[in-house]
Amino acid sequence: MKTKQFVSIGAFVSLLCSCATSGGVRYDIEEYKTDLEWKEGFTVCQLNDLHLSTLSNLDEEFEYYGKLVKANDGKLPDFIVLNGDAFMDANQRIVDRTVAFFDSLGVPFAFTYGNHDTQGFYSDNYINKKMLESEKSVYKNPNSQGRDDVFGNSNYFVNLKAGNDLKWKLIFMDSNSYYDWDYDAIHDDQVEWYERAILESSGHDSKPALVEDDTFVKSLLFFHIPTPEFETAITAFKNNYPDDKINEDQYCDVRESISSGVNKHMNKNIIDTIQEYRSTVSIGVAHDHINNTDLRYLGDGDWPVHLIYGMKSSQGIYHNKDIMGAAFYTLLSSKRVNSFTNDVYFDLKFVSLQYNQESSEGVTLWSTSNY
Amino acid sequence: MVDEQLLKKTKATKIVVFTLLFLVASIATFYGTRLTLPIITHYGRGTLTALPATFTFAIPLFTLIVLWQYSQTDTIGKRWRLNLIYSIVTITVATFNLIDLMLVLGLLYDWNLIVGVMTPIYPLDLILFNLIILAVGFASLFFTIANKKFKGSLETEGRVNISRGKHVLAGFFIAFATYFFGEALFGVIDIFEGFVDPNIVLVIPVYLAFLMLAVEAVVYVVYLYSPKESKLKRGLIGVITLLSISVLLFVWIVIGLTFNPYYFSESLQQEFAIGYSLKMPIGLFIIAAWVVIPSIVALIKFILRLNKSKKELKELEQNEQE
Repeated sequence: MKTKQFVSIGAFVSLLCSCATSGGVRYDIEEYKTDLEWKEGFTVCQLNDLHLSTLSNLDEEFEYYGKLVKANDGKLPDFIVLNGDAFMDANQRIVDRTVAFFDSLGVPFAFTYGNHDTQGFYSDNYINKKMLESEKSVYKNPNSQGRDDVFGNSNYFVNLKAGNDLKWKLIFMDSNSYYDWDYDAIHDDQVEWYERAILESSGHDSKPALVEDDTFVKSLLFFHIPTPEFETAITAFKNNYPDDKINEDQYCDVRESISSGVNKHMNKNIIDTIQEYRSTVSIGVAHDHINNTDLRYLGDGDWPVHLIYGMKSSQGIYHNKDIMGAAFYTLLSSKRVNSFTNDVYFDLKFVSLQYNQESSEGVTLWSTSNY
Repeated sequence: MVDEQLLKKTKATKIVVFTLLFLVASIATFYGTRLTLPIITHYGRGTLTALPATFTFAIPLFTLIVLWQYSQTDTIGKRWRLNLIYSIVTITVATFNLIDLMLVLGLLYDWNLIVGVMTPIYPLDLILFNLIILAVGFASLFFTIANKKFKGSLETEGRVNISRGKHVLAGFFIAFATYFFGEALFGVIDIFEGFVDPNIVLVIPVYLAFLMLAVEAVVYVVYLYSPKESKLKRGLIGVITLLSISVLLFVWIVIGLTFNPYYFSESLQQEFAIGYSLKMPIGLFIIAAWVVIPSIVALIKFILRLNKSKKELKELEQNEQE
């Protein structure tokens, strides 16, 4: 009897251990990739924090998003990013209809998880499943139940190619949700995955000893929760220009505190790695609904990264109507130097749009193409 | 002999009715509460849309509480008053909901009866539900008025008289028990979606803990207010068992957190959405406060009642000897 009990307890503890330490399957980096065709002036529209819930009037919301994605120049963009918290207290029907709506636009779109997306009337895997089934979504997860060896769900990337020529990368990561009931950060294994994504198609197996500006193709990175560097950059801007929203080629309209993610158990920092590889030129985040920034961050390195708080793109939960809209990125095929002698790899525009307006013509709050 | 059979049948019917109502109330309370929460996060916007759903989903819980009170009330006059209260509340709620739904239909949905969003055939389902509630309310009201002669009746049916405060407390307890039972039932959704949570071994004790509250409610209701000593003794054994299971589950959860500190945020965000929204460890607090603490309180109560019952028995024996 005692042996039986011992075996049972042993089996249970083993199950517990295997459950917590399995870490998932390692997949080839190719499994996380989608190829799309590059075109001159490729435009990416970043939509943040839609917060679609059981209280949302979906017809009204979709009518607004339909106008919003055209608010840059009256045309549909080449790519749409739903950058986290698209859903909050939603149900399966809302997810289905939202995916169907974005499919109906006929534009490839990406989805990243925010901290609220899994707080709905569905299993933790439902959104993952629907995004994988979607016709126009480029969302990738090599394991349909999310069991790869990379923490989080939405870690994948898009290669923009002209024939066989790789022009740009769009990288999407899961900034995770909570740790110790506070916001989580990007995990060490995700930083390693990011390195693999940058190295893919580069002709390098590992980071070369000397990385030049043109060693790797340029990339945009999107995830939901800002990193602590956002706070550093914003504080520095505010200290230097306390009365300005715009100074030279930087924009800083910050109306709430910065709730960045920190996890004391993580040793790797995504921004340090970005600066080592000199590929990613901007990080687009969401999460804080009334903060909009485009700040150049150097930190201890010499590779400037644009820290971009995109615009809240819906009337769900708290917002300010005058800064509700979308961020539009226009990717350049080769860099230019702006009037402040900074290298520019893409142009950025913040466009605000109201719910009740007839046309899709928005108000431009910030545009880098002016410099 | 016939009476005994009738008693057995009545008891069985009571168990079936209460079990079914508890299941319906659990699903409705959980879903209704979660539909109501966005009103807070949306700063009151959408109140007009959400309130009819909130109130409709609260009706099964209200019915369960009233029915339990009905079964525990000691005079026929009090039961008559409960009938009246139930009728008035259901008629008022259904009328309010129907007016609200008409406003929502006219103002937001262009008189389109099937919009979806909350449920696949919302708001048509809510309109139909409220018409049924209204019919039940009126039927109950007519029945109550027709039996006006019982209004002030003091005729008793041998039940233990429970104070109003305890009735209110029990109402809250039932509400929490149904919510968490509904939450545990909701966990089954993974199976329907063919999804096996990688943290399943760690998640199981949380769901079991949610179910514990309902089991505790049953022990409270069935045993604690029973005048029989044998039932009290059985209740005490039940409570000790429940307390042991609760502590075991709590330890299982805590050990689970040391194995994977992320499993709450990975697998239980929906269940502890309020805590995550407030960035407070309400999840663990809920499990400790609503599962372990009621077991301890129940244990103390059972011991006190049992002692009281023994004392009364001793006094009775002494009196008889004298």
